[in-house]
Amino acid sequence: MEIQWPLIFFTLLSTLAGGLFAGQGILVLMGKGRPIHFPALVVEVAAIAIGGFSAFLHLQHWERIFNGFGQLRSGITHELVGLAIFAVSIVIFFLVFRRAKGKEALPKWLGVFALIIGLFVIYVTAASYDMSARPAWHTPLLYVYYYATGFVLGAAGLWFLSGITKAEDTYVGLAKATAIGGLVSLVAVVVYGFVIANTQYSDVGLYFFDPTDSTAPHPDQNAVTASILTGGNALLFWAGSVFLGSVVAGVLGLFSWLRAKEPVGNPWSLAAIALVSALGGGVFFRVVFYIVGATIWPFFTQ
Amino acid sequence: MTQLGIITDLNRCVSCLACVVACKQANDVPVGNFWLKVLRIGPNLKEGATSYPDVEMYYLPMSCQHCENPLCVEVCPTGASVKQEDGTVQIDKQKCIGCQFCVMACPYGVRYLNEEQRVVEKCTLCEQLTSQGEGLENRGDKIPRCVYACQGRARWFGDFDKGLEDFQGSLKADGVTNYRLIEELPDKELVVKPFTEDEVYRLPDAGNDPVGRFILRKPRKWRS
Repeated sequence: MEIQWPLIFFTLLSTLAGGLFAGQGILVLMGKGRPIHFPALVVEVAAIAIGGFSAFLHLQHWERIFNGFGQLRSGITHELVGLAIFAVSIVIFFLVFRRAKGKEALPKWLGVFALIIGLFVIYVTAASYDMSARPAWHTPLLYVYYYATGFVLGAAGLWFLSGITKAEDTYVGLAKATAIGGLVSLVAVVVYGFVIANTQYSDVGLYFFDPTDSTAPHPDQNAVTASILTGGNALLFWAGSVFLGSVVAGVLGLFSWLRAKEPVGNPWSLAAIALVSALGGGVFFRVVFYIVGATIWPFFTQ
Repeated sequence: MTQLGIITDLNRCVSCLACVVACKQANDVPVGNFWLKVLRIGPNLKEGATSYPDVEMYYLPMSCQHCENPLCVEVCPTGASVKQEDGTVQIDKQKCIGCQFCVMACPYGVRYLNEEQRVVEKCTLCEQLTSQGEGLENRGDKIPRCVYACQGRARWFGDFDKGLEDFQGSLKADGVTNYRLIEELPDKELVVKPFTEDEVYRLPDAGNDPVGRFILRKPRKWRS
């Protein structure tokens, strides 16, 4: 189907924000990363604000959302409710963070709370696209992909903030987390790619539709899905989603982890490259996601 | 209960596209959008055949299937898409925010964004006409335009909950009375040739339970 750029940026930034918040929860449970929390909250607010604005750009009549929004079975309603809960959670985190004085550890419940909310935000973002009409999207691997990329984005984002804020107690640990996140993302993307490439659609043999060109066949959807591994969309998938989105971040995290005693360059440069590449990979995968997102009856795919 | 819908006799459809044109004209469907379109399936080899020209094909008029469990209604955040009491799925354009998730959720690609009004549209089963014919024994011209215009007596409109006897088609020569799906003409000829239950098909189901039915008599093979 047609690529929906506003939704690509919305889902990417929501996943980043959810990953960061879940990562903060883990840091709170470990009693580490105090200098990271405030800038992380700022990044999350910025991410959901830019992502939300991007989603608004997708709407043809955004002014009508106050005119009956809230059909409770709709994934978009779930996303809106999820983001509202997320925004309140960020405020709660901030208030608790401000109240903890000096080097006083943040309460463990806050860590559990942030972890749950971060995972919840990623879930509602993914769930909107779990549509039974579109077999490439209607799979548990959709959620696995979102959580895997939430992992690498959150880890790389916190690693970057750790470098910026010179939070030494977390720098190497977050590089390690980014390395593991890159590996998890790599496996998730490749497995999902192979599953997509083998998705089956309705097959009616030869078919034609366009009355202005009665002999022009429509594209073969099975060939389109297969093209992400070996055809015209392979570059998007392998170079964009796999290499840029997973391998680069993973390798940079691994490199920093192994060279922990002899750091290379300034502390945030490698992390910045890892984060930007993971974000770029997220964009490329979402482009692929729309290209292969045909319906079970794909003859009039829009 | 009522479940209005359309039965199409694929053995009779010749793809004259009169239904497509009538739909466009009656509903002011924008250029490039199709609330109804005709898919030509084939030519494909007949069952057991090994080479051309031993082939077969059929035409498949496609529009909203007014599903029992419409996925488009489920994803709509504002309740603009609704399943009405007459069983049809309709869009309240005043509520539509143009998010187009219904377009994504529909398995059949029959919803379109009206770029001028910036809302999603689709087949309404010509609600503006059929609501006037509600309860009439003979619906006359108060039937969907695609049915009214069908030159081959392939399209039939009626209430599935009342059975096949309720389905009516285009007008007879008197310009008032509808042909009926189950009807014997004075010369003992049937309006629609006999078919069995296993010759009636639906489009692939993604959990939406499509309502529309398609008759394709054997030995022709339904492909999905």
